Amino acid sequence: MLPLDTKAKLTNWGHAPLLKVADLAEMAVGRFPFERMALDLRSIGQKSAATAELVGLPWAGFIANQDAQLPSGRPGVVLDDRAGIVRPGDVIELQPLRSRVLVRYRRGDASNVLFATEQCNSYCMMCSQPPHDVDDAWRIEQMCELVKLIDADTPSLAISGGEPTLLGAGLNRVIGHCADRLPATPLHVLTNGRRFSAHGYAATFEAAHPALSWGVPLYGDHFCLHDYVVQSSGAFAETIKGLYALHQAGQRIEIRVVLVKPTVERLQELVRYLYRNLPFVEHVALMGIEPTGFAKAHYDDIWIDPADMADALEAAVEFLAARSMAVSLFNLPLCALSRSLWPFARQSISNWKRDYLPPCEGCLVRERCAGFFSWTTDAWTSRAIRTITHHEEGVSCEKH
Amino acid sequence: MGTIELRFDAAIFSADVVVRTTYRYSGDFYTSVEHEATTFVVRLAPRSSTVNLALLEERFRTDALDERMREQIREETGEVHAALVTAALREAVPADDAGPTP
Amino acid sequence: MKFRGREAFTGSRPYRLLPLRFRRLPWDPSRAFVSSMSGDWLLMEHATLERVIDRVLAADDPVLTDMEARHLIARDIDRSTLAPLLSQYKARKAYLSQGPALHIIVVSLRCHHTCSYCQVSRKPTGASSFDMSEEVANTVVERLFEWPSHTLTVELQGGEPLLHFERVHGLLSRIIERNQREHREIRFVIASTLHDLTDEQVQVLKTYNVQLSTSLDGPEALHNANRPRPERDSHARTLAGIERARATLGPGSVSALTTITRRSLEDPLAIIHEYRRRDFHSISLRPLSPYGFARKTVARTGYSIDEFLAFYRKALEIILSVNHDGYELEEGYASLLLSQLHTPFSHGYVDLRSPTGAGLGAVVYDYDGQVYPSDEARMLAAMGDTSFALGRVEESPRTWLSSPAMRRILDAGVAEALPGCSDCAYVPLCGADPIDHYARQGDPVGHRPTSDFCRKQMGMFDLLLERWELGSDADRRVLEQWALKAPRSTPSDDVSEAG
Ligand code: SF4
Ligand code: SF4
Repeated sequence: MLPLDTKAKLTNWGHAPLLKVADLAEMAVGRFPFERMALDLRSIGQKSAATAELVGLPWAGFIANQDAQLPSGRPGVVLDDRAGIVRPGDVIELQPLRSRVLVRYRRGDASNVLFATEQCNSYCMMCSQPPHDVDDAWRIEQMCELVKLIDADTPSLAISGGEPTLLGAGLNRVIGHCADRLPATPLHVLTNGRRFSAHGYAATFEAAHPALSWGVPLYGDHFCLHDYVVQSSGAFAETIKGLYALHQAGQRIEIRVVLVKPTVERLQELVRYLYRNLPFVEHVALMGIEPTGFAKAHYDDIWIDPADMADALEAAVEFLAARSMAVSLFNLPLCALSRSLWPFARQSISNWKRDYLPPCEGCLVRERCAGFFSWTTDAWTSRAIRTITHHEEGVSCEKH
Repeated sequence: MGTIELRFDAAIFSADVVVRTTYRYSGDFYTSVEHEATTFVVRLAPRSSTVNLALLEERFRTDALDERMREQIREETGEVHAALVTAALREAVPADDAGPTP
Repeated sequence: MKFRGREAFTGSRPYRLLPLRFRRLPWDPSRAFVSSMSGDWLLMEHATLERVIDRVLAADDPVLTDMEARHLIARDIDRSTLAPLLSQYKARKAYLSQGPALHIIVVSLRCHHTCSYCQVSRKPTGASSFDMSEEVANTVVERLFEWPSHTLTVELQGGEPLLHFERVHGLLSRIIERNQREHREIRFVIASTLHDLTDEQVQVLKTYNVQLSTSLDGPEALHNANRPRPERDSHARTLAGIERARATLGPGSVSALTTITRRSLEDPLAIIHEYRRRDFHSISLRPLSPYGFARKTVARTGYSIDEFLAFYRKALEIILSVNHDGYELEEGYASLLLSQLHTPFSHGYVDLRSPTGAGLGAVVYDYDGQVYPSDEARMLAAMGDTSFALGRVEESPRTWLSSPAMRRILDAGVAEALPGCSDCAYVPLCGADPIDHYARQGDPVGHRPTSDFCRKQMGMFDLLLERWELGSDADRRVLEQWALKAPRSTPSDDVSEAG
């Protein structure tokens, strides 16, 4: 796991902008103006290479290991960053008051997120990012700025929160920016979809972006169950209406099912419901719980060992796959899944929050295993975790 | 085999229910329904000798009760049904307009 | 904010019923098949259904949850939504959204068979006065493109269309030429015995990507008995034609229909094995219809629908075991009905729609320029009853649609409104066939308790449901595979049973 922020000593910064971390290659490409780039002196190696001419360019500032390396009088960031948290190509946010640097975009990572808002209109039992009722409309502007500094060949980008649709037309602005600056980057918005039940909102996203899709969670085949999991009366009806509105507006939809216990108990009914009522969804993700945030407070209500949902998962996956509905398993360690499900399992945990356990040492499938969220504790770990050895992989699974 | 006669309490069974039930038997039987004071009288005469008469009265009465359930459902859901069909057809192209372009 | 338990989210209003229909299961009358208006369904105890209707069930009874998820009831209408029900209903009726997509052109009435049950008043091979003229053909092509449907299936049939190949070729090329401007998606089908199919003809068919539909009634003796030619070589000629077509057009280029005669009833096994032997992966077992010459020879070739259903039950067992053997073979009509049971989609089959597909989903252009809403209507006319003639090719399609014949069809064309059907639990999956009812019963509305159409539908739905419910996992998998593979509409991807 590689954290997304680090301590830093910040000197001479008038305001705290978003900065592209630049090395000489970045400069040569010339996609971003000097005023938006911080020259990463660490990347230059030989101190002698940092000529007066280079340093004299109108960089927004400089990044170095030690004070002494910074050009005097210019804005500077001193990092103690042996782990390599901040690297050329990244976009960082400076927080002078907290003496920290936040990585808002990490070059080459497949799981970069634009964080839309801390607010949410639901209150899910297993929320990993508990909402706060704060006015953070300033994030719209920040996201637009951030998009300007993101590499054009970024493989994918997500917009998440909180609930991004609470930004209203602000979300359209952000997506519009992505369409302008990053038209080739698939953009996935994670939303509870409730706002789309409001007349006309979904339609505002028609043709908004060439590679836009929406990830919408559904936790039950009826309102009692879904409303309970998201702790909001009326949420199910709004989400369902929202899904139809999105479809009507020509949007691509993924259904995301977090495998909390009450949902697993009706998983077969849920996938049947998806097929019967929402056959147009492009992808169904069945996802292990991220054991942080509210999830920790509801362990007894939501935890079910993946080993105990094996049958339910197999039946659900088989049902969807037979009906040509694409299905994937997220956040589930391979050793806890029956082998027939391995082809559906994805390495879904972003690498900055992914870890492995001792049995994973020497495990043959580690390279393609989702692993664990870094904050996973024993209580949230399947009893089925065990090293997959060559021998085992050689034998065909008895169950099939 | 002669005519079978069945009586239904009009306080419990509506004319509609009795007639709908009788309709189900009109393939195998000549049928009639009459209203006498507080009773409906159903008469069934088999159309041929091969008609299955086993448990006829029991079958008919069960069917009548099922018809009564259907009546209850219709009464409760008729409005929603009509509303949904209207809503669905409003969005589909009505048959008339699915005709050729002029 | 505090977290709340499940009980806080159960809603505050009593449940209400949604439009639903039920049918006691013939194999277990204490249970019922309960269907929603869009054809979603549930098997449940009849007594439980009664309790649901009488409101004597505990509010948290799990059966209410299942019923709600299938849109049979709505708990707290403020918190649930009817949007999915509406969406399902529209998906089922998707075939309504465009005009007719199936266009049947009768190229010639000539035929070399003298089948006892022939559905068409066929004419001897030399009688060229029963060919479609070039002038009529050209007008048909004009009309074809006046319909709005983006995808068109053009089916050329007869008689034996290959006896008038010049016209077949002319139609194919003219339609494709016209389509340079129109950009429709066009699929060609030719219904033929394939007896006289030549390599030159196959080359032409290849150019136009034509699918062939033929008749194969079973093994040689049965087929030849059903389809007499003076030479007694109908079976051999059909097989030769199939081989010839497959060699150039590909293994999947020919589909075959099996007409079930009295003689066929005795040996489903032989028929099915013939299909397997000839490398078919689909079989379509069709009962005789009451049209054409069939009605006159009912004593010799006829049988009751109950006899057909008994035959079909045996045949289904055999087909299932063939599949368990590892050879994929589907029965076409079962696939269609199963797709209605097991998928939320609409089908492309014109004979099983509500509103009816006659005139709304299909149009038939006869050799002489008469236009009909279905092949059955054409056959009635051939026997002297022109009740359902829509008009002539020289007139506009708008005129046809406003003809008295069409009005008569539409008046009896909505199954949900027909006596018997309106309460039937299968009606969301079934269809209205007013012309069939007129042909058999003299009245387009029809009398359900004596309707062969209904008896067949009901019997097939019952059988397929029973077989699915009581079947092994392997049985279910096969049946569901058929359902999932069945062509769905795309509102205009129509198929017919002609042949
Ligand atoms: S031992 Fe570790 S790496 Fe191997 S499958 Fe299990 S969780 Fe994955
Ligand atoms: S035709 Fe028969 S099976 Fe079909 S809907 Fe009508 S009553 Fe039911």
